[in-house]
Amino acid sequence: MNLNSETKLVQAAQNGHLESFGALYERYHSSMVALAYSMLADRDLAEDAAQEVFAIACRDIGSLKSKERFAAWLTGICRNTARQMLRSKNRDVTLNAQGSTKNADSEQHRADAIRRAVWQLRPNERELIVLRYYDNLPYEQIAQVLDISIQAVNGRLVRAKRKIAKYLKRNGLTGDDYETS
Amino acid sequence: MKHPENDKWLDEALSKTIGSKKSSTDFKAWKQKHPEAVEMLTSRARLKASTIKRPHSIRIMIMKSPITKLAAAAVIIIAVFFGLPFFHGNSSGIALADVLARIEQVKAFKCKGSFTMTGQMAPGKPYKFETRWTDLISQEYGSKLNIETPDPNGGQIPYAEFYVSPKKKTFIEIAHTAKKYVRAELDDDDAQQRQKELSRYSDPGGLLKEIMACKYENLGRSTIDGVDVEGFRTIDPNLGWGGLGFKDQQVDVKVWVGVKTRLPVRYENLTSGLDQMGNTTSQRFVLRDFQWDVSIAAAEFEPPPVPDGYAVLDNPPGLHDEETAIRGLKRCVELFGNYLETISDGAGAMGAILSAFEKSETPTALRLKEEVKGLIEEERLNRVSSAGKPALRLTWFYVELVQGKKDPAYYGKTVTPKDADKVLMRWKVSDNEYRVIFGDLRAKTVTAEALAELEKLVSK
Repeated sequence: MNLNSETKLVQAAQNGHLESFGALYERYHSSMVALAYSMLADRDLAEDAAQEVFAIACRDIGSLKSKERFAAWLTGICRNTARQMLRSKNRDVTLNAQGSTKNADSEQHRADAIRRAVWQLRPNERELIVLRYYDNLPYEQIAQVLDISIQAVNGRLVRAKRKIAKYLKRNGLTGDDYETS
Repeated sequence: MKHPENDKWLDEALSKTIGSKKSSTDFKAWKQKHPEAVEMLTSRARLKASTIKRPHSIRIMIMKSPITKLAAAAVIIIAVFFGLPFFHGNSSGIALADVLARIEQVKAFKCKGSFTMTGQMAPGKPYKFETRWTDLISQEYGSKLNIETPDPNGGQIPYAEFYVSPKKKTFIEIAHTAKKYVRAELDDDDAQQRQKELSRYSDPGGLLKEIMACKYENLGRSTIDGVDVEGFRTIDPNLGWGGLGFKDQQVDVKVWVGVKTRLPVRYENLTSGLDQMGNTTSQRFVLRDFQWDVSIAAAEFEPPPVPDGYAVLDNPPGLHDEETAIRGLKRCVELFGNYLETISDGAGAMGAILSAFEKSETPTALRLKEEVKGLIEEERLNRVSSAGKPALRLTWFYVELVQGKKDPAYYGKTVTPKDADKVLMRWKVSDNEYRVIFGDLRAKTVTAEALAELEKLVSK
């Protein structure tokens, strides 16, 4: 979908056309779940947050002045919603690590290490990684959601993955002991 | 050498670990779960579509079929479709969603506001702080805010003026009581942020959204200044003005909407409770005298020349940050001889500053006490609070950290300027890092583990 047709959808939604809002929902639902997941570290909560994001967007879309920035606007709502959920549940984001003893199941151990590697990133790096790998979002959509250029997405992704790889290496995990498909 | 981050294994591992378990994107299910949101969106279509081409005949139609004979559902359909108010009954004739939609169509408006804060510096030592303002907000030209305070001799005196022009990217503040001013060039983000901050003084749309997000009741019809209005009220404590939270907080928020115009006529927020020091305090915020869709000339947003003798403001505007905190802490030492024992906010902050000033015998405090001797109480309070403004900004920064869930802590009760190695204040900056301000006001980023060690040195 190009920006021009998306802008028209936003305009139509602002005029009360529900199906246009539905098209925007279909396009951005997955990325909002991913974004919320990057902050909440809980898939179920992330789904709830995404539902709430679109409820707020549906209610407030009339106040959006720059229609071409719909994705970035939605992102702002998502971040605020996730923060509020963190506050209201008085929770710190902790991962349910299954333990990292040598006797733990090795696949689970790798998965835990990878999750820790991702969640120790800075919030903006973590957002990028989760957006990319949660549902294989294209760079173009990630760029729209984070309001950065595609080149910036590429560059920052490389740097974030480098950090993840370093963290994993420090924790004894490299590509040598990972079988690829 | 192959970069590890390019390896296919890392992509696969990340996809496998983080990848979605295929969450469903089901708009139909979402619509069923959120009928109010759907109603708000689709009501815009009805608002645009509704044209009363022959209002006279519609009124005749309704009068010929008396409301009392119609089913309640039919009355609702007619009223909503034609945008007509109810004439009878307990049901609301006005939907706040419609009011919000009307506000969002307005290109410029004026209103007046007032804020009154009462509390106690100490038992038996009450204080009252009051400001009023006139706000002019234009989508095209920006914001202009004039704030006044009571004149001890009667009437009002200018307190400060603010001008924000997102187009010109400028911010101007003229602080009359302090006889200071500042002009700042802003980048896009700062201009938006500054506009947003000033709009908070008079943001009927934002305030209405807050009410709509809560449980609220309809107060029915009444008259304000000769205008027929319909009132709405919520007592949701989340709308209170106590930033760090008053204990036993009670909140009473009301908005009255013009029956004909469907636009706000008056808004009130009354918050009361116990402040951080345990003293009874209350805050009352009112917006009134709205003039909607006013025609405005660009010249109205031109700031006046700065009066002779005004100096440049030494605390330039900006977002509250670490620098704000350090300036505030420095000011505490100058004015009070030490750091504030605790950080409060709202009325509590003012009370703590005034209380510390009363006890202080620093050269700065003694000079100021001499200057304000003989002034009446309101003027004395204004001068002291103006001198203590950096300390107030410190509390605003701290409140933002609390609200942003940055895990802040403050140890002013036990840490002094001589305690160079002790943590005075800290907050989280990333998952495993904290920013620390030490007793000697050096600042440093440390890991969570290092912070835990440092905080062992601090008596809490």
